[in-house]
Amino acid sequence: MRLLTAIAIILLVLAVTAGCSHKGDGKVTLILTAWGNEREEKTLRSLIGEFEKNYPNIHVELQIIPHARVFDKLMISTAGGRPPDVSRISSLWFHTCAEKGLFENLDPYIKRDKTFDIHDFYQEAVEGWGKHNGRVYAIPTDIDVYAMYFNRNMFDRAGIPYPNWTWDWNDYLAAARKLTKDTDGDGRTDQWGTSLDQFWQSYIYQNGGSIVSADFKKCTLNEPKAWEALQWMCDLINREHVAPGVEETAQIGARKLFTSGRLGMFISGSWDAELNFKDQIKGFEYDAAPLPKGKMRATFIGGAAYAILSRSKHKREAWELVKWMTGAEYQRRAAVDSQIIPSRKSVAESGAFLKLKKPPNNRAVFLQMIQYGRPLPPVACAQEMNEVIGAELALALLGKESAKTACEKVTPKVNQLLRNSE
Amino acid sequence: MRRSSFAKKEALRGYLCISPWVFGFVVFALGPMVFSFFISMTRWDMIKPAQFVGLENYARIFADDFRFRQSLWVTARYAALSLPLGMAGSLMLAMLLNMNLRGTRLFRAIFYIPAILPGVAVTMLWLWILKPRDGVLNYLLGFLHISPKPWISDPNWALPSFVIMSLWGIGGGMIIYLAGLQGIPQELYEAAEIDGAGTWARFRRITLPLISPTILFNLVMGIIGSFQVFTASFVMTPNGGPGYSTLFYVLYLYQKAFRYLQMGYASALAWILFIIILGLTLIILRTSNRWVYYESSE
Repeated sequence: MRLLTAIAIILLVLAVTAGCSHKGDGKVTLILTAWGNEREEKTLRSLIGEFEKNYPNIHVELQIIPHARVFDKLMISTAGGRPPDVSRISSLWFHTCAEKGLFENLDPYIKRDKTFDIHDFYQEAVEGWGKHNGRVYAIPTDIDVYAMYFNRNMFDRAGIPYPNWTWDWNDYLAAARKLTKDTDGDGRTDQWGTSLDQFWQSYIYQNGGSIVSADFKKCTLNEPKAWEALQWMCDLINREHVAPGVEETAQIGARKLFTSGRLGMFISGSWDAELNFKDQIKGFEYDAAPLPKGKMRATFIGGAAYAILSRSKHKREAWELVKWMTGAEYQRRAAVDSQIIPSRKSVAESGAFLKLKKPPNNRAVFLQMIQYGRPLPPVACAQEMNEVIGAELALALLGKESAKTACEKVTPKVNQLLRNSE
Repeated sequence: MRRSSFAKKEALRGYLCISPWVFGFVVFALGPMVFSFFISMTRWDMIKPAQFVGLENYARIFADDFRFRQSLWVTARYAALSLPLGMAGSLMLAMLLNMNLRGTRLFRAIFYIPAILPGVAVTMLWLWILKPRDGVLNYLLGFLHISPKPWISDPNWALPSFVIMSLWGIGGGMIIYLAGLQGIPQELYEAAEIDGAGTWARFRRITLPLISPTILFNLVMGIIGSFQVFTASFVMTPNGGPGYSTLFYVLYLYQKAFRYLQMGYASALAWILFIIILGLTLIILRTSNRWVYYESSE
């Protein structure tokens, strides 16, 4: 029963801490939670400074939380204490939170506020992680869409043409085979052709498959289009040996392999160039290319948004902050400072993102990939579903079972979740 | 009349003295227990008001939840492995340290330290020891010409890794055995030796019966502890590991409660765990009169 005691104490502590954050100087304090690296935090702080200058009656307290913890933080603080007023949220768990009623419905605010135009935002983003059950609960601030970075020097050395829009899975695999090498002859591969897309969903989409049925009631992973795609993904590691295995990836990380010049093709988002490549890549040139198409071209699309917590006591002020954080000025700065894809078409097409004088040259490919983006299924149990599938898929990635077996085993489990989803 | 009023006064004083404990028990144990039993029959995410659903949570757990079965299976296997090994290991350590050799005090402290170190710190340490590529354990095994094992990143090795980790903390059981061993009168051994009893006979006929109450205590505590194992799995494999190979029962309970905010469901899981532990403990206590020997009772 130690557990129950612990729960009681946690609740008590939350209750106590909830009671001591009021100041009486007529100033409204908004708590804003977000994740971000040092550079992003700097951008955030300077923008918040400007916001506070424009709104002298509002004080914003920024809490930077590691990306993986924000979901837990929002859930637990909403349940047991004082949640933040505004939070940066991720498309990965937006629907789970929205379904639980964590967020304020923003439709009335949008309707009332003539200075705000939701149509300036990419439709893919608003539909993907702004709307839940047809209502707007969050305003997208950036778009995370994946393309393929490649090491130009490595391609030149191997005499392979750079990846382009004509590439399909076979071209991609052929190039990966040529790039995979044991350079020092010790029997262990030390130059890899490629690594896996961090979103296994993309492979399914590229193969014309889906994860759940159109009515979100049934899991469709047991259909050939889905498991064939996942088998193809696992084969890159276990049969073709052109991608580092789970163990190497866990220890060194695919990104590190790419930045140290030991990986030919690396699938990631536009932010990686500024966040990691700028400081870590030395001694070779890289560029970006579209993801190869399978039966069709597709990619995971996701991103971040800003939402007002429904328990906030200062929603009017919170709306001003949300507008600011999703506004053109912020997006321009994020695009210039961190190569983040703006969610506002006006900013994305203004050249702020495209005309940056730094690598990758073909940055436009990210904007071109948006139209092929497929968001995660908007089900309430999205987070739980990903974890359940991930646990089973881990076995297939380790080569312990086929993707077909994994999919057949996990399908009834996901159905269980969809059926019992609270 | 006077006597009874004195008795009353004394009783009052008695209650007064235990009141801090009673208060703590009611507020931090009994209250939450009653509350959790109530919410185990609701759907409650702590955000929207609780919704009474009767026994639906329990029905779903038994009929329609693969993770319940998986986590129970993982936990039972873990208990079946770590409990006997841990109990035998700590008894052996205690007997070694019960011999009056130089430096035993130092070793006693060394063996006991893991039992009092904070769990998260210890787990971080083990994460480093168990690293597949350049971890300490694989490095040491290399000297014995044993090929490196993937440990926690492999579904077949993950659970054994947790058992090995748990064996590092056997100092807690050891201290209790040590106390039991030191309570055995030396003259029993001397008399047995004169009668010609060997080492094994002395252990089997004197040591074991006389520390059997201690064994019972360690067994019951061990069962409770191994069914509630949480910290290590939470730190090392917060999602339950590949193929849910390290989804311990309490880890699953925690996920349901604090990750997915299904408080009613999680409370039902907690009550099922409580019943399981209670049942196992009762079985052991009932059968204990067959193998536990109390000096005073005979």
